[in-house]
Amino acid sequence: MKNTLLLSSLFTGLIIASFSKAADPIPTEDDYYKIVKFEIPKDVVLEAGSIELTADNKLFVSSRRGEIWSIENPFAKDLAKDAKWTRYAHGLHEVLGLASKDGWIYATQRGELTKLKDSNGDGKADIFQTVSDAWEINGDYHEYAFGSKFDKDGNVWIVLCLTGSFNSNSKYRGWCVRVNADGTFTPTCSGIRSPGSIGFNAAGDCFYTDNQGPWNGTSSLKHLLPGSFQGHPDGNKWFDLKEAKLAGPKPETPKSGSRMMIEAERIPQLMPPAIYFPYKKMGQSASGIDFDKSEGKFGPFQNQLFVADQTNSTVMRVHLEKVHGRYQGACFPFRKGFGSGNVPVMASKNGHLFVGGTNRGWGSHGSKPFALERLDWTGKVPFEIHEMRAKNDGFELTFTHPVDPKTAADVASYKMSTYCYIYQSAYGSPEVDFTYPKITSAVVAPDNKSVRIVIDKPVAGHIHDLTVAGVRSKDGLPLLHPEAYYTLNYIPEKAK
Amino acid sequence: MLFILAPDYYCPPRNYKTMRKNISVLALCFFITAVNTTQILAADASKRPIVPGFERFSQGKEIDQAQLGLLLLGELNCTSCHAPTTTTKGLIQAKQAPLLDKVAGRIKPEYFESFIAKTHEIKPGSTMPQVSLGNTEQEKQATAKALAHYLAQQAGATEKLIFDPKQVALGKTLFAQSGCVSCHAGRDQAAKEILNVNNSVPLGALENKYTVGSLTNFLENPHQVRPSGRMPAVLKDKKEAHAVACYLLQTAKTSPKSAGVLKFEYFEGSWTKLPDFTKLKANAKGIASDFDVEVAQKVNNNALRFEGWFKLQSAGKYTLHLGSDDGSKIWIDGKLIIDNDGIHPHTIISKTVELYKGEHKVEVGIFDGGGEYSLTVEIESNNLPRQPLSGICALDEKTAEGTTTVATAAPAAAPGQPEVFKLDAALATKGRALFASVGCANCHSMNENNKRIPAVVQGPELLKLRPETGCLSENPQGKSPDFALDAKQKAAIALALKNLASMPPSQDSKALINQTFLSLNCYACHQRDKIGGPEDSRNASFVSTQPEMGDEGRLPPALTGVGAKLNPDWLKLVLEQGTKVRPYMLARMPKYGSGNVNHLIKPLGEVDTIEPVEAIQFADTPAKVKTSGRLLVGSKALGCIKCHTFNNQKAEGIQALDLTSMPQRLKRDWFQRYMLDPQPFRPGTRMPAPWPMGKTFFDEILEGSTKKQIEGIYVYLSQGSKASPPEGLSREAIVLVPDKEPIIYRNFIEGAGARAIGVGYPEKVNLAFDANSLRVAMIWQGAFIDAARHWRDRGVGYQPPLGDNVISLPAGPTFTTLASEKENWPAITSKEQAGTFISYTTDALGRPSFQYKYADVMITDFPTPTKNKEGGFSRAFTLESKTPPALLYLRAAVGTKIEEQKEGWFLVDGEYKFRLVGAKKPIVRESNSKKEILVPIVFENGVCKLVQEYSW
Repeated sequence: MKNTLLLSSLFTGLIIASFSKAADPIPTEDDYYKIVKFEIPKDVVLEAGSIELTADNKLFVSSRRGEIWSIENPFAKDLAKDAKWTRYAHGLHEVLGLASKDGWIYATQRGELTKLKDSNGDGKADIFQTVSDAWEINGDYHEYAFGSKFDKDGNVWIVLCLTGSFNSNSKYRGWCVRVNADGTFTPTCSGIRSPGSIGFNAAGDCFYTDNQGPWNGTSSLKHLLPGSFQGHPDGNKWFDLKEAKLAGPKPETPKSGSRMMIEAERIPQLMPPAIYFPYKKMGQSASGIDFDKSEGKFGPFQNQLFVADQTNSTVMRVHLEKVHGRYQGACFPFRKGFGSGNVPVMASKNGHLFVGGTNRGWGSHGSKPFALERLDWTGKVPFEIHEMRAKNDGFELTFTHPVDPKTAADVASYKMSTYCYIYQSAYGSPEVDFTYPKITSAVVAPDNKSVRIVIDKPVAGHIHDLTVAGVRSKDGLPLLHPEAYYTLNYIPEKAK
Repeated sequence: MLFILAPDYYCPPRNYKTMRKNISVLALCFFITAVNTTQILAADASKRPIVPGFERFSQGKEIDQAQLGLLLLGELNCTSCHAPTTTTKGLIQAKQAPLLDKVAGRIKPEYFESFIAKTHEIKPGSTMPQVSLGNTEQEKQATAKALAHYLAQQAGATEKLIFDPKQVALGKTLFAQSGCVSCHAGRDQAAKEILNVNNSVPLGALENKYTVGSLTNFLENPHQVRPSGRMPAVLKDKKEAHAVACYLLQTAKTSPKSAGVLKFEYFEGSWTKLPDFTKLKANAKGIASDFDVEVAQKVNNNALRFEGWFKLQSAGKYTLHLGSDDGSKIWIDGKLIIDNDGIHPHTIISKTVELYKGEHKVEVGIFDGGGEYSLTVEIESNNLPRQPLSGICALDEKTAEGTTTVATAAPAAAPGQPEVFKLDAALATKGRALFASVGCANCHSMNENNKRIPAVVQGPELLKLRPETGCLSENPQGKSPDFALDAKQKAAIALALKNLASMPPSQDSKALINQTFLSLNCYACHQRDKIGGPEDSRNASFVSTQPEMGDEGRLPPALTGVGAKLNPDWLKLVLEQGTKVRPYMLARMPKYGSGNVNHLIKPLGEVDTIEPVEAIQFADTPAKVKTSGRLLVGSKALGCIKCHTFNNQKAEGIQALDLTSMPQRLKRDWFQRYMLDPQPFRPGTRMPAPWPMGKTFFDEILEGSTKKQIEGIYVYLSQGSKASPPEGLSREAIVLVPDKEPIIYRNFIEGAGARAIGVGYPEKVNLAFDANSLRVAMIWQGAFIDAARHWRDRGVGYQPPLGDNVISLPAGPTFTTLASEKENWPAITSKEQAGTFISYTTDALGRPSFQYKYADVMITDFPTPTKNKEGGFSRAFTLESKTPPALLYLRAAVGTKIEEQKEGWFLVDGEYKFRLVGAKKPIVRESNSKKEILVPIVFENGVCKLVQEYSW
């Protein structure tokens, strides 16, 4: 019965595919960025937790089942033929962070940061040394630990999920901590709920993704400024510990049912999310983070962030700017269709984005139980909103191709709504406090690469949800993704 | 003990035994406590009738005052005296007062008189009015007394359950979590009602009113006497009802019997088995109130024989539980039933026997060889919650009361306590006439020769009532009953009366629903159209077994649009019977009984509408549609089974509502709309949108049509429990089998902590190292471990070893320094205290060697499998230190019994053997009442090496 079903669905699928090809001339994501699958060896269950590329171009991938695989030739055109897989380690506790330094691999396990070394050169780690186990776990499955790469000071940053994703019942649950390669342990920020990953931007500042739940209206990208409070108060109990003093004074407890920016005004440590990913519109479980460090080898998005989503099996794109000294910016759809539930991403200098996935325990649209994929740029530049910047009275949009000035200057080409979330102890939040600003003008720059839109009027603390359905490129193409979501925590001062 | 509650009245606490004997003193203390409580209640709380819907909504504007007035007209049962017209009758949902047939079987006879005479003092907040009893105090008293005797004459059968302190904890949990506190106030540490909790239906001093048996009966089936469903049935069976009754009545004077119910004989002597009592002469004889060794005159070397009678009202299977330390036996009617003989710690043996209806003789013998001494004798059947047998025992055949009896027994009066109630038939006859004439019969149903006693009192017709007169006047005079209404309540009633005349004869559906939600207090738990839902003060009492589900796992669902959501049949079932489709939610949907809620089903269906979804034509055959639905639900597509149970099979993540119940519960149109976008229907739900923005991720299934896919799932799930399970549902074992190299498994391992490092060796021996407490926590043989718990789903919980002969090695550190050889081995209270976990390294064969640090000593602990045929370990320790500490020890073993054998082997508790190689002479010592073997660690040039071998 199953075979029949598969055959019939394949058949239907073929018909649809060929039909749409003939009828639809508009290019798709696949024309610009191709998903290349790694052939995972038979019998290996690679539920990817983290990815690291070492200096000798070996790709290390850790799994939730506690293995670390090293893959030679990860850039090979024919991965099935040329990628060489070796099991570097096994038996570790759900590794969700990999970094490398001085010939050691650093693995963030649930209960500790461990460094591993292959001392006899047989390709397999034989030293497993604990760098720090200064936080605790109690057997609750939600107590995950996600680890970053090394920062410039030699620290791995680790975000520790709450117990049951609601409470902090073990030491430093709900915290971001830093562990130096020399073992020094520094509690850094409280307020974490249920992270999906952690990574840096091009400036070396650390960010993590947190997920919809208590005190988190939707999933978001947050800046881990040392001493800041990331919004969920349950971990604040650990401020009483001596070493936690390093993270500054304990923040006040936010008022449930309020709004983020009202509370941020009152609680100086409270860091509003740099980016909200509106639920469903963008994703439902934000995860892996990395930035484009390819200097153009991966397309036009140099230094922008790529953030994965586990439920939707997508990678989103983020452009950040600093307003009032804090990060905020816009997110855009980028690429969908990955094989499993995306968790780690890793961008390489030579212009590839590695994406790993698992959907064990949490469903994803990519239906494979696990996957490892590489996103390659085809060399063609899609017509996209390149950057979206806040202005005192609206936004400035730049594009990856010159725009058709006529459609770009037409205010009817743009549609905007704004909303925010209830900042509350209950799970998630609907979108609330809607406004529908009027686009009063759209002025195209002389080089046709940017448009300045003025709106009546921007609302601080709201997501500005913009659809640019009408703008065409000079070649007459619509935007590959007309949607943009700008998290306007702060409105910039009027330019002098 | 409990009398601490009445600090003003000092009961000398000598010892437990004396207390038992002085039970009457104790009862006196309880009585005084109860009186005090009553006084406090009367002084602190307003006396107005508490109707929770009115209390809550009269503050705000969500519900208009006239509607709340209608609510009061119904809840105060005004129409039983003030006849409604045919046009107004349907507008009031009158609450039937409790049925009074056989009321003396339920309510303590002492309670009637005081409650009738001083209704608002005895139970502030009661919706029963103070009825007019006469003009003079004397006359009032006489009327109340006569009525009380009449009611006390209405004997009824009630179960004679006794207070069981072991049930209190369960009762407390049920009261706090299953929904009782949604309408009633919570209770303090001493189980006393917390006063002044907003909008709470007061319970008053239950201990004065109910016995454990009668309260159990009421809680099990409240509709039997209160048919209007205001008090729904929350508890699922008699056992639960008994537990809650024990909890609520724990301060009552219904503690175990004060009177002697058993004969006992006491013997002295030394035995290892129960002696033959017929050959012994008793050292003492007496009467006991319980099967309790407290009557023994000393501990050690004695025996007791108890004898008594009990009566059973029905024949059937009864389970007896006999527990003792040391040996005991029980005989029923001369026949040995349970043999629990020999020297042993408290051990319970249970046996089920057929017993006939009528009297039975029970004999129990017990002896104490030494040490602890205890005895428990309990009985249980389908109808009888497990309880001490002594509760139904009597000294001889004739006085055996049995499990069911007429409730006339009252505790013996203690000095200073009011007289015990004695029924006076002449007074009762007088009371019968009064029952109708003072108006009791207007509200309360009481049958005489199968006919309800008719009401004789008649007030003015409803529509002719005027504000500020009669019951509504400042101080109701003459024949008017006094409801103790406050100004707000009077105003609402006045407004309702004013409106009634002009209202159409039947309420529109919306108003009808609202009215019922108010009178049944549905709003206490559910929100509907932004009205109601758990109040802040009660919110925290709603809890879930799955906290990670958040509010939707603990708070009852909002009922906005419920008529569009649920199939009428299902709705009917839910309302009438209560259901439990959310096993994680501890608050229960109670049973309201058909007569009280059936009228909601139609109007809910009319008011709550949803845009219909047009019929869907499939190109595929019905069988293929089901197959597609199955594919979508499974792990290859949407993976619904990751969070939802399927036909009671567990999901991978949280255990949300069972998928196979969906089409039975949910209307198709609603299902279609909900699946497209769950949030508007259930704001804040964790249910992701399977088709975000209406788009499918599976173009190849059912033509890539979202609507068809949703319909396909509905069709598939409509097969209910017959639906073939979707892919990815079953959790097959993942047995880790070491082949050439050891397998390492760091995870939550039961017995080795959250940071366990399990190692399975190809030699079929295994161990688990605890990286928190720095010790080998367990060793075992055979299979290593099943990783399915951690590798198939989210990874919830601890997994035990898979193999056999699991040996748990001593808890606490492996090495420590002691101030002297006498000092106890420390327990580990924190990770830091244990030392520091450094690393493990693997050798050429992949075998790990653990390094950890204690103070300045670096310890390498390298276990390797030995070659002996049973399988064993050799554990090579290397200790290195630049500043070796003095008095450092290895604790090689701990056990109750450690025997030295040949060739240096020690046998520990008969379970495993070990020996030490290259070690200093071990110290055998007793510590914490266990045997321990310590090995002094002596360093040479900063190094100490030794080996411990294990074999088992």
